[in-house]
Amino acid sequence: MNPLLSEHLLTEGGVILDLPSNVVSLDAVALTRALGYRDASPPAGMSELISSTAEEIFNLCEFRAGYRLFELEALEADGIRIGGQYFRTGPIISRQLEGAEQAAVMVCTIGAAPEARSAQMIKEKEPVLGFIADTAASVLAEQAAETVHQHLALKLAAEGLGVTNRFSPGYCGWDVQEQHKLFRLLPEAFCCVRLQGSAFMQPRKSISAIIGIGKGLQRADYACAACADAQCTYRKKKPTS
Amino acid sequence: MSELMDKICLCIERGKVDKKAPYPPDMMNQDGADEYAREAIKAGESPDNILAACNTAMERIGDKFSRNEVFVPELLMAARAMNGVMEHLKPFFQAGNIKTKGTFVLGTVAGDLHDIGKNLVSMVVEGNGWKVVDLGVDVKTDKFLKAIEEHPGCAVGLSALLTTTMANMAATVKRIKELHADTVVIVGGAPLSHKAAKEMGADGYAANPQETVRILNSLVG
Ligand code: B1M
Repeated sequence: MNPLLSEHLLTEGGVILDLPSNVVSLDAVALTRALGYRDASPPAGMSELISSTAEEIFNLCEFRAGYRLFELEALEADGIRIGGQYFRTGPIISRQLEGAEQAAVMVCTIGAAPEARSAQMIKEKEPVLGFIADTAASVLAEQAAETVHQHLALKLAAEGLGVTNRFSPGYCGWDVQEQHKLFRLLPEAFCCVRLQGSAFMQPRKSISAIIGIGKGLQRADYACAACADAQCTYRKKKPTS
Repeated sequence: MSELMDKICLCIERGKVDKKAPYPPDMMNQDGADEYAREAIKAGESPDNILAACNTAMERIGDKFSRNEVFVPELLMAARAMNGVMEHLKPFFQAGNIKTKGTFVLGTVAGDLHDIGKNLVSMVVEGNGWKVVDLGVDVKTDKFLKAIEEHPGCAVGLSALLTTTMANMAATVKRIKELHADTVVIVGGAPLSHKAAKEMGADGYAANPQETVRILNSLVG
């Protein structure tokens, strides 16, 4: 568990976190799995390429993260209302937000340099390095999100509050289009992340999510059995804390 | 297959690009696909034979991939070695002595800026003897249509990352099929599936680069 991060309040609303790179570490097991080696190990020689490329990408990361707290105005069977916006999250998410009194809308990114480096590797006809770089960047973005989640859990625990899992538009039946509503709740270019018309965030290695907050709440197994998305990568993934 | 062809085949399958490449470690300091291809051409080996050796290698690694014996990094390493051989064969392609299997027009659909998947598909397809015309990212329907007119008989590949841009993909597929019913359209990307591909009227769905190659190769018998 990481220590509490420093927070900076924004006048336009929201909190920016200090996310120095030493609090985000690259999970080598997660990376190997994300590269496709689920039950197998990378062959001799590949592991070295993986670790050196991942290190290069890690050093290029500019971690940025922040969140904004909202009262939970309404919790309904298929969605929630926060900040005057109704989010049709679908029943899987709304059910897991039961008991929440507030919600944190969070965004994090690792910046644009890692994806640019990966693209350059591919351009230079080094597809293996480019693929490893891109995958390492994805894993690091996930870990940045996890760090923010842990920070919130720790900070709120001191106030006697618990947190739910984090839920991102585009997962668990929540339409990715609702990213537009989510970003309307945040200051312009929050954490230097911008949303394109197609609900695509730039930099590419960015994550948005909401986290329920309330007394007695805790992170739990994701409700994969209730979800129709058989392809989802995070199916049956266990929470990390 | 001659001994030299066997060596080219093995180097591609193992992802041994050239002599200085440290991968795979058990072939360290040995010649790689690059050196053997140069040697084969110098020795007067027919470009067709070299190409056949490359195809055999890619088929072997592709089969291993389908059996989960190797994974995307090894597949890409083989494609990388194969692309090196293709560089040596370029003059023969340009002179018309050997022919590519066909042309594959590829792009990430309108509104979508995700290019890594498409780029990997492009490299593997090219490594398998196809000419690839990469239209880039955020490709509007008109650009696909123009490329189809410029490359008669081509197959088309469309990539998308999000369900939002998958809707743009469906519109592009529909328009291509209205104007060029015979053009084969393959779709791929994270939110796609066989079902989604069928619903939008595409001819095929490829979950990965190897699957794309399999579909494309089936078009040329
Ligand atoms: C013939 O033509 C062809 C043939 C084959 C083709 C082809 C064309 N194009 C691709 N292929 C195929 O071959 C390629 C090589 O093997 C493959 O190409 P890919 O581009 O798919 O593969 C890349 C090389 C590696 N793969 C990837 O980069 C995507 C992998 C998964 C796990 C994934 C990752 C890693 C990430 N993500 Co996220 N992510 C998922 C993905 C789920 C999955 N299983 O694919 C997907 C795409 N993400 C999703 C979502 C929702 C999101 N993600 C987000 C964030 C992230 C990370 C930052 C954590 C990370 C990187 C994202 C990135 N774009 O770089 C957000 C969006 C990011 C943005 N920029 O807007 C966010 C919106 C979540 C949020 N609210 O924060 C889902 C989209 C579904 C939807 N509803 O639209 C998703 C399918 C996950 C899921 N539900 O299972 C094949 O698809």
